[in-house]
Amino acid sequence: MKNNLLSLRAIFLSFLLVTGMAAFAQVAVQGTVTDAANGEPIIGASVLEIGTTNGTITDFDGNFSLTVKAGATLSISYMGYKTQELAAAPSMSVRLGEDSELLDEVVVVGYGVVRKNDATGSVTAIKPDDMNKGLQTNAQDMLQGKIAGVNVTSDGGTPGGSSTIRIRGGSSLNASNNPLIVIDGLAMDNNGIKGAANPLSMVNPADIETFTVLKDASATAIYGSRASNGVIIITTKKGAAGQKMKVSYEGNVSMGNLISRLETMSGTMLRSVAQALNHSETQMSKMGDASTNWQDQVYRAAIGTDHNISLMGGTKNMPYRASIGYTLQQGTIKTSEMQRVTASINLSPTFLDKHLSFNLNAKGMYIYNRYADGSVVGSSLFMDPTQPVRGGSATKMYVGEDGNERSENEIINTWFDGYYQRISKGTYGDPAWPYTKNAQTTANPAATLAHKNDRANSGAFVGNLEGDYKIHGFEDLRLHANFGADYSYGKQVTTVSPYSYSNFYYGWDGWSEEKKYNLQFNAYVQYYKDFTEDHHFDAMVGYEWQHFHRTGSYDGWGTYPTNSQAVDEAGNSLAGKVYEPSRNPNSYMTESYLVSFFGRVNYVGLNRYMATVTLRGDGSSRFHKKHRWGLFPSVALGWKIKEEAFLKDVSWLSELKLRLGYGITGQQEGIGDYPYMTQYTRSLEHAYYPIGDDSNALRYDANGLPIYDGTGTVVKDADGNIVYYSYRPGAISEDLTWEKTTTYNVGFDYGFLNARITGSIDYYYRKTTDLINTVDVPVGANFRNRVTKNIGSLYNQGVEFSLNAVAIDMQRDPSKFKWDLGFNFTWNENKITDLNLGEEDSFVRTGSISAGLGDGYIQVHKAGYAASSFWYYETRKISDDKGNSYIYAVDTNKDGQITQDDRVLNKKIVSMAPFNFGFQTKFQFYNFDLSLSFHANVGNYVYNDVLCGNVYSVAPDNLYSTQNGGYHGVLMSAYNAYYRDGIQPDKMRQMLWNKELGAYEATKTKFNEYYYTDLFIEDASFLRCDNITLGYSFAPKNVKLTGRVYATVSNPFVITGYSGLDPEHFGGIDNNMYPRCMTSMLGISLQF
Amino acid sequence: MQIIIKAMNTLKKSFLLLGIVALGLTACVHNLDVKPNDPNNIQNFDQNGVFTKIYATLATTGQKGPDGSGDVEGIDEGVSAFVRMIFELNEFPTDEGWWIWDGDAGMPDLRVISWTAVNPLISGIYYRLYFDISLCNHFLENANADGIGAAQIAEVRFIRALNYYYLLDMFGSVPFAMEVSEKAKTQYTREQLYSWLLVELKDLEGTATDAEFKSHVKTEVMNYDWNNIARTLPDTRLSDYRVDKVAAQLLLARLFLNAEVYTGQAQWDLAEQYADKVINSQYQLHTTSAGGNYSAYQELFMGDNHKYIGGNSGEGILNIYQDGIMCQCWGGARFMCSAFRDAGYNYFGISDTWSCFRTSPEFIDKWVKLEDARMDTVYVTIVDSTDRSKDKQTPRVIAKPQYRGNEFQMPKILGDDRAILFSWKGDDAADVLEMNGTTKNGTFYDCWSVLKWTGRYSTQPVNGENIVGHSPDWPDTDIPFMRVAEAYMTKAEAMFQKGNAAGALDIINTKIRARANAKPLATLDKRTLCDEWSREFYCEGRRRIDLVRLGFFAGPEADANQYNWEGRGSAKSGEAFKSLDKKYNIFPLPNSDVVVQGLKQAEGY
Repeated sequence: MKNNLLSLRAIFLSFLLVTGMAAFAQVAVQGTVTDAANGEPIIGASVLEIGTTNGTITDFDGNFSLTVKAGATLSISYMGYKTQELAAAPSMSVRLGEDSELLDEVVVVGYGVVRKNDATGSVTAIKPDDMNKGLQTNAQDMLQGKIAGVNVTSDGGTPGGSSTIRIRGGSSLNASNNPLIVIDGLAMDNNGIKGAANPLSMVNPADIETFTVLKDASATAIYGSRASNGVIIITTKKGAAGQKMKVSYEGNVSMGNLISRLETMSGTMLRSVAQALNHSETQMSKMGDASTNWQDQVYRAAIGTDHNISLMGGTKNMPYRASIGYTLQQGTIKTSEMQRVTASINLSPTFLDKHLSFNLNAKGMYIYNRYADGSVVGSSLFMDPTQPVRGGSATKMYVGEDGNERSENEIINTWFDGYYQRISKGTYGDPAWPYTKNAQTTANPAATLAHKNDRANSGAFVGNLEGDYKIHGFEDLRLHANFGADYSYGKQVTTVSPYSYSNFYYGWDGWSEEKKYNLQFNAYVQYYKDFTEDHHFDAMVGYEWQHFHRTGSYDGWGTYPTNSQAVDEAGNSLAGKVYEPSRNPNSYMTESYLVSFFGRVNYVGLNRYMATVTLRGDGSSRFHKKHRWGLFPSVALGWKIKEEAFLKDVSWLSELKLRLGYGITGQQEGIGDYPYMTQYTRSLEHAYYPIGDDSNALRYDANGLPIYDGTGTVVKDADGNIVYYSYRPGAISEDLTWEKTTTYNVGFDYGFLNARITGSIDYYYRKTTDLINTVDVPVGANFRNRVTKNIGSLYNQGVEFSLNAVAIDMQRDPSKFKWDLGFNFTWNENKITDLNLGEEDSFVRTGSISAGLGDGYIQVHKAGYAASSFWYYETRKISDDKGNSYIYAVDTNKDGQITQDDRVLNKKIVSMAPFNFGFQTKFQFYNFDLSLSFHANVGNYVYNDVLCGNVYSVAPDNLYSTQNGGYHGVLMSAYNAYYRDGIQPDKMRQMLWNKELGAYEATKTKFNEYYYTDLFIEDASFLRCDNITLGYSFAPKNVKLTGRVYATVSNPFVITGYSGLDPEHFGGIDNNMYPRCMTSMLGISLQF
Repeated sequence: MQIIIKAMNTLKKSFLLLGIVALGLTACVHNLDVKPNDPNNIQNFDQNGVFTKIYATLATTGQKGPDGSGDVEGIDEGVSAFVRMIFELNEFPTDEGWWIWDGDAGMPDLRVISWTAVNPLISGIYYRLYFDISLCNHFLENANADGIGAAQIAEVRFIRALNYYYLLDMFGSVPFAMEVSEKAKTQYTREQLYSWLLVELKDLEGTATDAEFKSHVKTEVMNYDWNNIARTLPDTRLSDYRVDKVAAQLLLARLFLNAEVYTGQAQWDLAEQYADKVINSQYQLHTTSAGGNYSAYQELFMGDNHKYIGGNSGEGILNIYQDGIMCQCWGGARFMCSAFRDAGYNYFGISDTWSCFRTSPEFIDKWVKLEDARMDTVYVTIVDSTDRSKDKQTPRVIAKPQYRGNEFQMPKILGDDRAILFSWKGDDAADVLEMNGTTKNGTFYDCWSVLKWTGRYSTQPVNGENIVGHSPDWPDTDIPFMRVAEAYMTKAEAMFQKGNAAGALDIINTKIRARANAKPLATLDKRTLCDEWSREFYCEGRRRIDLVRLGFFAGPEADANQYNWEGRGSAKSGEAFKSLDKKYNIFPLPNSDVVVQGLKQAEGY
C-alpha cells in the first residue's frame, strides 16, 4: 500500500511538471483582499494557484503578489469567509463575503469532518437557537424536541437535574441505553458524579457551537464499542484568525412557578367529610384546629439568574476564545438550589504556513448544589391538613417512656424543634428523650426541609489538545493527534437534625466523596485526494486509548444527643458519642481501559456517488482475553439523485439524495469493570461472625474504623466474642462479550424551491443480539444463581421525518419579515424477540411501584413485547340489581381463580411513546422576533402511582387510622376517583370464569391487588409548549454595539388527557416526581 | 524532481515516525489486562475468610448487614436468609400458621399448598442452599489441610451436608455437585443423596469404613491426602457457634427418623441409636430456669440465650450467632421477633413490629380445645377502631375470659411453659380468636400470636422495659438451630413406631413435657405425637416433615387420616377440605434450573 501511494504520487507530480513546462507562460498578479461587508483589508487570507502548491498569503494591508501561469485559477480563502475561485489577472480586487452557512455545510463525524453534501450516514447537526432557548442550565435542554429520533425526558424539576436521552429507542435491556457523548473530540464516560448529573453538565450551554447527532451505524460505527445508542458530538465555540476581539455578554433573570399543583383537601373540608361519614367522636377528636396547605410549606417561586461573558477573536495565527459564566438556579422546593461557575478557554494557533495547527480546549466548572429531600413531594400531600405547621394541642396528653404525662404542645416544642408531629412513647431508654415520632405517620414536610441539610460541591476539568500536521510538500496527508483528560471531584455532605422525623434522636452526619479521571489519546492519519475533478478519495487510519478511573468513599453515623442521659455498661455518659450500630464507612476503586484501532475510506465519484466504509476494532479490559476484541464494520452508500441528468434541470427540486447504511456497533456498559475475574468481597459492617482466625479478625484503627493490614485493635462484641470478617467469591462471567447492534438505514435528504424547504426521511431497523442480560445459571456452576451473559435479542424499527421551511422571506422589504418553520416526527417500535429464559411465558419484572409491599412491579420485559410493557389485571365495572356498582378483576385465563397468571400485556400499553413530534417556528419582523417550540408524545402510557397510593387511603375506613393516630391529607383527585368515579380499591371483587356455565360470573370474592390493575394505567399522550420567546434586536448607530433583549416563558402549558400532574415520565411511572415548573425569563445579549 | 525526492523523504520520515508511535501505542494494549484494585476485594483464595463466610451463610444474607450485598438473586435479600427460608417453607403450608401478606410473591400458594415450579420462595431456598454448597465446594477444592485446616475441612463438610440434607428433605432428587464447575451434573435420586449423606456424616462422626469413604469421595477434586488428615469432626466444639461430632449424630438421627420418607425403608432402630448418642453426649436439655424470671424453655429463645444453648453442656448443638451490632439479618432473630408482633405488644428488646405471621385455629387447638377456648360470637367494643358503627356488621369470635392473656400469662393459663402465646391485651388492641376471616389470608388479629422468640434478656424482669440488648433495633437472640430436645423426640417416636408407645410416652412426659412444666399425657397416638412435635418445635422451621412422615400432609393416606387445617387443600376458609395430591410432599425443582440444567422434574409437577 505504501509503495502504491508513493508511486501514484510520483506519477501525478511528474504529470504536473510536464504540463507546467508545456504551458510555460507566466503572469504576475497583484491584488487586494477585502471584507465584502465593511471594505476592511483581510490580513492573512490565503491565495493559491489551483492545482499547484504555488500560493501566498495577504499582508497587513490585504495585498498580495504571486506569479502564476497564464490562464490559471486562483483560490482565495480565509477562515469564516466563503472561498472564491477567480481567473488570474494582473490586477485583482477580491471581496470576500462572510460564510454564515459554513457550519451548515460541514458536519462533524467521528475523527474528522465531512461536507454535509457528501455525508452518507444519518447525521443531524443543529446550532443552538440563540433566539428561543428558554431556561437552559444543561446542554440536554437544548435538544428536546429538536431532532427526529432523539427523545429527551428531564428527570423532573430538580435544579441542575439530569435527563434521559434516547436515540432511536433503547438498544439494550440491562446494559446502558445512553448515547455516547463526545465533547470537542473527547469521548466522555457515561457516569455523573456527586452534584453533576451527567457529562453534558460539564459544558456551559452558552459555549456550544453545534450539536451533531449521529444516529445510524454507518455514522456511529467509527466510534465502535460505545456507540450502540447513537453519538452526540458537541463542538464548542472558537475564535477566528485575524478577527478583531469581540466581547459578548449574555445575561438573564428568571422566575420559576408551579402553575399547576395537585389539589388537596382543606382541613375544613376534611372535618366535614369525617362528619358526613359518621366517624366517632374519639376519632374526630384527633383532628387539629388548623387548615394547613402543606404544599405551601414546601413550594415557592424559584429565582434564577445566569450570566456569561465571552471574548473571542484572533491574531493572524492565534484565534482565541475565552468565556466565564455564572448560574444560580433555585428549585421550586424550598431550600433546593444550584450555583455554578464555568470557565472555558480555546486557542487554535497555526504554525508553519498553516501546516501545523493546534486546538487547545480547557473547561472548568464548579457546582454547588443543595438538595431538598424529595419525600416532601409526597408528604405534603399526605400530611394531615387539620394540624398546624408548628406547635400542638395544649390539652392532648401523651405518656412518655419515663411514665410522665405531657401535653402535645410541650412535647413538640421540647423534642420536635417546634414542628408538629405525631408522637409515640420513646424507645431509647434515655430519660432525656422519653418520646419519639410515631413511625406510622407522615413526616411534617416543613420540618423535613428544615432539618436536613444535604449539599454537594463538585468540580470538573475537561481539557484536550489537538494537533494537526499537513506534511510539508505532501499536503494530502495529515497527521492528527488528540490528547484529552477529564477530572472530576464531588463531595456530598448530609446533616440531619436529631429532631427530624427520619433520624429522630441520633440524627445523622454523613458524607460521600467521589473522584474520577478519564484519560484519552487518539491519533490518526488521513490521506485526502482528488484524483481528478470527478473522483475524490480519502482514507483514514487511527488508534485510540482510553482509561476510566473512579474512586470513592463514604461514611455516616448517628450520634447520641448532647443532652442524652444514656450511659454505657460501665456507666459512662454516651452524650455526644457516635452511635456505632448506625455507622457504615466504605471506599471503592474501579477502572477500565479501551484500546481501539479504526479506519475509514470515503469515495465520491462524479459528485453523485458516494461510499464510506469504516472498520473499528475495540478491546475492552472488561472482557476475558478470549472475548476481548470486537470488530465493528460499516458500509454506507449515497446517491445524489438530483445531480443526475434527468433531474438536474428540475428547478423546483434543489436537492435529492438517497442514503443506504449498514453497520454494527457494540456495547459494554452496565457490567462492572471486572466481570470475568474471581474476586472475593470482604464483609462489611454488621455482617461479621464469631468464627475465624487471627488473620481475619476484625480490627479497628484509632478512629474506630475497620483496618485490614493486621494493625489496630481486635474487636469484640458486647459478650466478648471476637468477630471476624469473611470473604465471598463473586460470580465469574468468562464468556461475557460485546453486545452487538446491527443497524440498517435507508434515508432521503431533500430540498425544494431553492432550499426554502429542506428535510430528510429515514427508515431504520436495529437488531441487538447477544444482549447483556442477567440470567439463571445451573446451580453448582458459579457463585451466583444469576450471572451476566450474552443472551437474547431485541429490535427497534422506526421512521424519522424532518422538515424545515422558510415560509416567508421578505428580505427586500423594509420589514425584512421572515417566517421559519421546523417540524420533526418519529415513529419507533421496540420489541424483545428472545429472552432465552427457557419457558415461553417467562419474563423479567421491572418498573417498581410503591404499592405491593416492596415487591410491586407493574412492568415486564417479555419476548414478543416492547421492553417495560405494562403487566396488569383487567377490570370491569358492573352494577348489581340494587344499583351498587363494583369493580371486578377479570379471570382472563378462565381457570376459575385469579392469580398472577391473569395479568395481561397489551402491545399498545407501553411506557415509551411510539410517536414523537417536535415543532418550532420563528417570526422576524423589523427588529422583533417571536419564536415558539413544542414537543409531543403520542401513545405513551403512565402508571399513576400517586393516585394509586392515595386512593386506597381515602376509603371511609382508611381516612382515619389508629396506627398513625389520626387523619391524613387527602388528594382531591383520589377523593374524586373514590367517591365520584367509584374506583374503590377496598371493595374490588373477582370476576371468575364459571366452567359449568361457560361464562363469567361476578363473585363477591374480594380482590386485593388493586394496584396491579388497569385502573391506574393511563394514556399520557401530551403536547408540551417548551418555550415562547419575544425578542428585540438593536444596533445603535453611534456605538459599536449590537444586542438583543428578550422575554421567554418556558413550559407554559401542557395539553394532555392524563389525570396526574405531569404526563412526561421516563419509564412510565408517575411517583411524586419533583414537579417541573413554568419559568419566566428576561434576558439581554450584547456584542461589542 | 527535487520536490519528489523531498516529498518521498518526508513521507519516509513520517511513516517511520508513525511506525514508532504505533509501536509505542500497541504497548498500551497490555493495559487491557487490568488488575482489580478495589480495596474491598481480594483476588486470591483466603482460607480463613471463606471459612468464616461458610458459617456466616447460616446467619446473614450477604456481605453487609442487614442488607446491601446479597448472596442470592431473584428474591428479596431479607427473605433469602437460611433460617427464614427454612422456616417459611416448612411452616406456612402447615397447621401452625401463615404469613398474612398476600402481596408477597409466592406466599398465597404456600398457604393453600398449590405451589408450582415457578414459586419465587421455592426458588429462593433452592438457590440459597446451592449457594452455600458451592461455597463449601470451593473451600474444599482450595483449602490447605495443615494446622487448623483439618478441623475447618471437616466442619465445612458438615455445613455442606446440612445444606444437602435440606435439598433431600424438601426437593428429593437434585443435581449433585462436589466442585464448582460448569460441567454437567448428575441428578441424584433421593435414595442416592440419602446414601451419600449417610456415609459423609458417618465419616465426619468417625464411623465410616475406609472402603465406604473411598467409594464415596470424589478424590479427583480434592487436593488432600485423605488418609493423612483428620477427617472427623472434633469431639468438642471449638467455640459455641461451631459444630462437633454430636451435630453429625443428630443430623444422622434425623435422616434415620425420616428414612422411610426419603428411601421407602424405615430405620427406627438406627434413629433411636443415634438419638441415644446425642442424649448421652455432653449436651443437655436446659431444664432449670437460670434467671428465675422466665421458664427454662423460654430462656432458649431470648436475647441472652447463648448462655443456655452455648457452652459445652448447653442445649444447642448447632447455634447460629446473631448480634444487635455485629451480625444483623432481616431473616434471623429480627425476623423471629418482629414478624410475630404488632404495635402495642409488650416490649421485646426492640421496637419494630411487622404484624405478619398469624397462627391457625388448629395450632390453638394444640394447647386448649378450640371449642373450650372460643366464646360465641360477640360484638366487641373496640376503642378507637375505624368505625364503631361497623361493630355489629363484623361479629368477632374471641377467647373466653379465662383464656385471655399476654405471653407472660399464657404459659400459666394453658399449663405449659411452651405456650408463649398472646391472646388478649386489655386496653386498646383486642386480640381474638377468629375463624372465617373475610379475606383470603385473614388479618393479623385473626388468631393468637406466637411470641416465643424475643429480644428480651432472661435477666430482665417480666415488667422491665429498659434496653439491655446491644442495640435497640436488632435482637441478640441466637438461633438454636439444632438442639437436644430433638433427640428425645426422635427417640420417643422411634420407640412409638416400633410399637413401644408406653416407652415413648415416658420419654415425652419425663423429658420433654416435664421440662416445660406441662401435665403428663395420658396416652399417645400418632396424632398426639404429631402435636407434641409442634408444641416443642413450633416456629423453629421443621413442621412440614413431621406432618409428611406421620402421614398428615398430602396424598391419599393423609386424606384418610382426616386431619385438616385451614389452607390444606382449600383456597378459602369455610370451603370443604379437598384431597391433596401426594406430589406436595416435596417441592418442585425451580423451573429455571430444570431448564438450564435439563433436570428431571419431581413427579406430578
